[in-house]
Amino acid sequence: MVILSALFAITLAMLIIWRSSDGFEVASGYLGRNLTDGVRGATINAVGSSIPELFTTLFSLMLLGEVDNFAFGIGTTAGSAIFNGMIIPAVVIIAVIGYGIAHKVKVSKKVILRDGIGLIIAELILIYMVSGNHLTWMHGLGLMFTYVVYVAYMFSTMKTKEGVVLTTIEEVKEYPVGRKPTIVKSLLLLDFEHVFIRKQINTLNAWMLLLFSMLVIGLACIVLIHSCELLSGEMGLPLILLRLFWLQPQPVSQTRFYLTVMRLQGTMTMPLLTRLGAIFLIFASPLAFHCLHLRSSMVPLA
Amino acid sequence: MTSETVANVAELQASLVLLTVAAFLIYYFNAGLRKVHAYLLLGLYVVFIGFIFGKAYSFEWAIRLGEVLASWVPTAA
Repeated sequence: MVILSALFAITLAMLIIWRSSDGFEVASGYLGRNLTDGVRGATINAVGSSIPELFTTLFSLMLLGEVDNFAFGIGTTAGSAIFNGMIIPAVVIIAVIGYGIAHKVKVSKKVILRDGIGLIIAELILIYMVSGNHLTWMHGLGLMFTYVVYVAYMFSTMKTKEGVVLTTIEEVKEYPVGRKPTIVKSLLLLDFEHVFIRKQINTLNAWMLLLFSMLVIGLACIVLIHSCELLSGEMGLPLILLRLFWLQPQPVSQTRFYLTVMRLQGTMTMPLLTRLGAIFLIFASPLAFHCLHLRSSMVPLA
Repeated sequence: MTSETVANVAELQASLVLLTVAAFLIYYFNAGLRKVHAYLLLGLYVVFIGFIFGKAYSFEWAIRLGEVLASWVPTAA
């Protein structure tokens, strides 16, 4: 019964995160509309797609209250990165070819080279950082600085057209026009886009949608953490392994045809650097001492 | 961290790098992604999940593979 309840809560939390991520994606898409797909994917969309994992890791450290639960963050990040790099592109390719939309998906070698190597370097930096006996906020700052360098490089090389090209389709409409549901119905369906954007999207309602979606995602992450902990205890599995199995809810538009691999590579580099960077920075900072009951500014790893 | 968690983290890190390099090679060295590439990616993921399940239930082959993977990751003296 406990296992079933935990599974139900996890499924519900994932559903809420998924639906909220849609709203986040719409808002971030509008706010970053002047960027190219590649740069937007690796910056704003990457933030959007990694918010659930960031909150999950951060809250797991704060709520579960043990340094050992840092492994939860590693499991979340690794599981998410592997899922993003393997399953989402694979499903997109099969869908695109299966539905006869394209014969093959061409990917810009320049973008793959840039983001692929960027991702591998980010992983090696992470391995180097975590291989020590201690983690300090400086490690977090180092990871985040690496991401800033990566983004600066991308902006400096940004061109108007880059990335994925499908051989037979032009473009998919972003916002279908139709009769909008009421606010109450939208809320019940977790369709936050139609709650905040009633007539036309603008900077104000895009920001409101973005922040509200983040709040809901954060709350759902708390449910997810407690449920995972419960399930881990009941099944006798390590939390780090259990965390790998949960699907990482991604904004739906990531699976749209014209985004695929290029954006996903970018969305993987960002979480690795900034999510764990932020965790190190917050968890090992002087502000966190009190609530995490650490004796010093060092987070012991081994 | 407990020694078991440290080992799990090291194995995960090694798996992550390996799978990233494999995916990178699939994306980079082809003239266009087709179904065969998609199935290859899915296959890699299935292998990874199989390894995780194997580790979780302490299968001998998974433990050995984990030890090999962990040995690639540098640890503090």
